[in-house]
Amino acid sequence: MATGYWGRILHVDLTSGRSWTEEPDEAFYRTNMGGRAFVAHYLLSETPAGIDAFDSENRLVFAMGPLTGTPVPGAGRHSVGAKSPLNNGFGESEAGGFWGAELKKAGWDGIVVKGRAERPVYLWINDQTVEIREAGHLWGKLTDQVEERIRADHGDKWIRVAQCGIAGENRVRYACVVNDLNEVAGRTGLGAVMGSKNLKAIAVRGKRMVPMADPGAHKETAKWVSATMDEVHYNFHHFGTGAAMAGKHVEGHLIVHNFRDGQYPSVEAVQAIDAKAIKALYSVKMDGCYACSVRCKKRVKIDSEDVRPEFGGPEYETLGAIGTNLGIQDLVAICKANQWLNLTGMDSISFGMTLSWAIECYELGLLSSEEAGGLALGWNDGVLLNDMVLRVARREGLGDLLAEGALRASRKIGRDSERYVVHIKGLEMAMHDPRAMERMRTNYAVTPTGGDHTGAAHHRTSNRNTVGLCQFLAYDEDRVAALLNGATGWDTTVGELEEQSSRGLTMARLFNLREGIGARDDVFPDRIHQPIRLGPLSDKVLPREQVAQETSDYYHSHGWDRGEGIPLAETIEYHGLGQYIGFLGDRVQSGGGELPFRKTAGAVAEKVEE
Amino acid sequence: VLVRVSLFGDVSRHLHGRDKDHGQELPEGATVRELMAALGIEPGGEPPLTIAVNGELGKIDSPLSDGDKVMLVTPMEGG
Repeated sequence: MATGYWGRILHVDLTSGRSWTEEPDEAFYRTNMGGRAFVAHYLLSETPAGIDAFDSENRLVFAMGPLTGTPVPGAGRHSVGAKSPLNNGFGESEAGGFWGAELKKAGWDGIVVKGRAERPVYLWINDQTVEIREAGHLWGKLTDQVEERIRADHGDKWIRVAQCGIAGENRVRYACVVNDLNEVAGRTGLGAVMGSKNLKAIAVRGKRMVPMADPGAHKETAKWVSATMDEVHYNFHHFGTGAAMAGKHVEGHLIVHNFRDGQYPSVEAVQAIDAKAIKALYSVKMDGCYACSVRCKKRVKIDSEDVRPEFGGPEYETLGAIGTNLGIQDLVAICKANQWLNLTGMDSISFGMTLSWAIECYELGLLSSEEAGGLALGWNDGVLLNDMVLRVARREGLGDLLAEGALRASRKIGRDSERYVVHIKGLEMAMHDPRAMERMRTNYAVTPTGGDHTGAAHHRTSNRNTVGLCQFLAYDEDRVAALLNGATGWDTTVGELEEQSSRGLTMARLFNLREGIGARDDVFPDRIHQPIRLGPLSDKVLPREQVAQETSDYYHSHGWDRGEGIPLAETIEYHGLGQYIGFLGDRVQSGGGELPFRKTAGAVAEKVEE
Repeated sequence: VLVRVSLFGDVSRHLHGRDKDHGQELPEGATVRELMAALGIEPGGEPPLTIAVNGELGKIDSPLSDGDKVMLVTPMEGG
């Protein structure tokens, strides 16, 4: 068995109250290293096609990568996945912090949860001991109360807790899995799946070191990061994310008013709510994830509003989604709402984008005052913003509608309001405008989760998803491969890693195809094909034909057919995915022997068997 | 001429903590290119810097006048 893993995956059936250990062989790990492939394997092989995301047969998968929990900056990352309640398609999100590393140090490579507990429970993992415990006393509690109570009950302040929040309990379709109070697997509604299983939290304590084949690359890399901090990671180290928003304003692609505008009233108004403003006014320190010296996380403290550092501070996506997107010019209101999103467990992007859709519809008369519960919806209203966080988390009044996510909400009220939903595959779009950013244009439409910025289209981001490594560390791909091999003892080349990342994307594609999500869903919404209203890009239009061509090229690059994006017979055979494709029947075509994604001499699974 | 400079993103390392509203003396007729040279910023890096002069999108050859406010921003993704 390779090092970097324990060869142990925890399975929990909440319906029966049983748990057991799966001990996969090395070939499993070499082809399902972490992230997308790991999640997709369990969704494809264990969930029946066509179930609702809240069906007890849905799986909630916690996937550690081979680097998760190893001693190098950026290794505090893990993935969470399930069938998404936003679109009943492939749901997955990455998170940082300490929880993933703690689970790995407890001797587990992942957790697969199925079933539904009769009453609220939490999972207590103390190294190799696993208990399903009663959680009635934690149900309905905010995340800080839950973490504090679990730590107190076990008398151990080092316990790490991942939890669904009250938004997850109430099945808000964009509820997060929150870990360490300030890190979230934010996208695709995974907290709602956790809540639907009556699983309030997973508390973990691990006391062993992840086994390593050769720690040399890790030691050298950790030293390099520290020694070059001011040249290589200066901005992240000092300001974290959100320091470049003024540039977006100047170029005309700041996310403003539901992707309608593109500029703020002035560049000074942007600078009043960006990372530099936070650092100057409210940040008490920079903090980091497991083993990371870059420490890019701003911790904010505003006594007058009881904003506390343990909930972190707004990152760029949040400053955009609940800041500029809503026209908010009040930084205190943004910091406070960020804290309450973490206290209740909601994705700031989907929340902000669903609220901006509602405000625009209200302005246009598509959402009535009665439907808005008597609230007057408008831009630049920090009181409304904070009010709506709790209304949505509790599903009260208008909050009940908005808890469905923008697309489902628009289909409930009708009246052409769907034209104003900025989403892909039902997931609200993140804070990067594809009309201006080429990398995002070629990424959003094809990402299996939908309007997600974490990058399916590029090898760099997919490789990191695969191994469990932060996207912010300025490592080249050779270094990523060296770290992987240092952990596992493998001889993985960059080419093999890229092949495996492509394999994971193909598996996620298969899951979406199985659930009826395909080429017709790999498109941008109307708004993205309209010009940005304000600023220097206001005369530019993104043609649909251009996106269609780029999407077709993307399909081809992964060995899928150019028209429908169905993996070709050669691709399925090369990646060893035959077990998952029964649903495709005669829709699988031959590609004439071509394998455009191929970078190595042979399929990895065969290599391991040899 | 004296221009006021603010740097954002990774480029801000060139002024190490003095990167907000820094005053920079430049010869008459200078452009953003000369300003970057004075700050030790190489042109042509990836990703290209966003340049703003007095809040409007500028270029590396934009001429600078006394009192101009210049912003140089390294584009960022994610977070």
